[in-house]
Amino acid sequence: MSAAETNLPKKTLGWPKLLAALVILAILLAGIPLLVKRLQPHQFSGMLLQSPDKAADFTLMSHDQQEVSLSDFRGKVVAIYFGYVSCPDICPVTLANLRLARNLLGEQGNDVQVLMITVDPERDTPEIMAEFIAHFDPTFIGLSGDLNQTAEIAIQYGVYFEKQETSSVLGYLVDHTATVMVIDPDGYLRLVIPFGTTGKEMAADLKYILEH
Amino acid sequence: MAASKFAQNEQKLSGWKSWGLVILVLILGSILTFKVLEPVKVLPRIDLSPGFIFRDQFGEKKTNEYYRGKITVINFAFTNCKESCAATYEKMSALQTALQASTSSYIQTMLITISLDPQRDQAEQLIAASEAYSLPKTVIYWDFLSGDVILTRYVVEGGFGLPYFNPAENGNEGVDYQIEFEPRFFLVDGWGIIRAEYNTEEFEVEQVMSDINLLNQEYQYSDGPGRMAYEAAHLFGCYP
Repeated sequence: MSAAETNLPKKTLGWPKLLAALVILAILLAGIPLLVKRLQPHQFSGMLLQSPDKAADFTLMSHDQQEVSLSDFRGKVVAIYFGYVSCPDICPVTLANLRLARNLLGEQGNDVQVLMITVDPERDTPEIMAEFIAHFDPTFIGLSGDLNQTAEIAIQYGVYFEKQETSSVLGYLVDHTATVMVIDPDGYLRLVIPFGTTGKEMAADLKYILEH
Repeated sequence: MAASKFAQNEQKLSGWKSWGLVILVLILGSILTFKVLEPVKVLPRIDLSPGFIFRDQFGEKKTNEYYRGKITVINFAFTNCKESCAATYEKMSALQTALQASTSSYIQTMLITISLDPQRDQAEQLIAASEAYSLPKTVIYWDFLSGDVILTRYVVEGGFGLPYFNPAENGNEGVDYQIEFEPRFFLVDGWGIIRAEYNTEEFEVEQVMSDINLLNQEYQYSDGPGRMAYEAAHLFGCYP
């Protein structure tokens, strides 16, 4: 070892450098979980399907009395929900969550179309549907058909419904499956979202479908 | 002096690059390892099982919602069936016996036979079929279901994609008519999603038990930290 080398002044970390090192360390420590989160597969709140077939197409009457088919929305993500206007709890909660999800998506929300198919076509006239839908989001579309047509479509989407006579002032209720089905822009059924999923969780799942 | 500083910076940058490369290789390596070794296997989520309302052999209403949270094995038959149903009943019986003997199930598994002949298959006929094929005392329940003619068609043909010809629907059934159909079996998970489909030859008890075990494992381990591995297995298509 040369004399010149041994006589070099001992290097110490000054306060500014130490502070900078600590800041970098903190950023790294905070960044690792973010990186892991970014790299891990999306945690779906719904169930992702590997459906080999396209979702069953249908044509129903919209709340503004136009014929509407599922295939009209190719290029958009479609969220289908089976519900009814006099539904006391589950339907309003689900529709409110869908509205929140759409809002949370911001601009991307414009590529999400919500369709509510009534399981109570006897009472849900287009006028009543229009008023009901407007409470949630004016872009939502309410759809209705006759009972047989509705049953045929509902069955294919894993939904059952049945009228239940009650003493409620609302008249009869309709028991029904409360899941939301998500169709991708190519028309494939990709996701089944169970009741109880929050708007934020729905937004995360819809975002994934929009981007993949 | 400036050149040496530049060289030092270059060296630092190259160090960072190496680390970045190592991390990238590690990530890609893990993904590749997962894909090749497939440490977690899952059954594909094929499609939605249709919604339905039927009545069982005891006259109780049974909907698809009733079976939510349970694994179900669904097939189709009719009680007056001469030949085409014999093998399917036998296979379902064998599966029931195997499930009864199995100790590894995490969630309840049930068997369902949907009648393709709702006009004739009333509670009495369904009970007779149940007594003939189902184990007498068992916790592996086997529901024999029948319901409305039109809804049955929507469920079986529209929902399960299984065409059948029932002469009684056209009013020219004659005496002792038979329904033409291709027997199929469906394995449905607790979320109401079809996870496997078999014809009579493919429906080997060992194979179906193995598929049911995979579903049980998914239920058992896909909660909490294990969920990520299971979602990755679905995304990477780690199928048996």
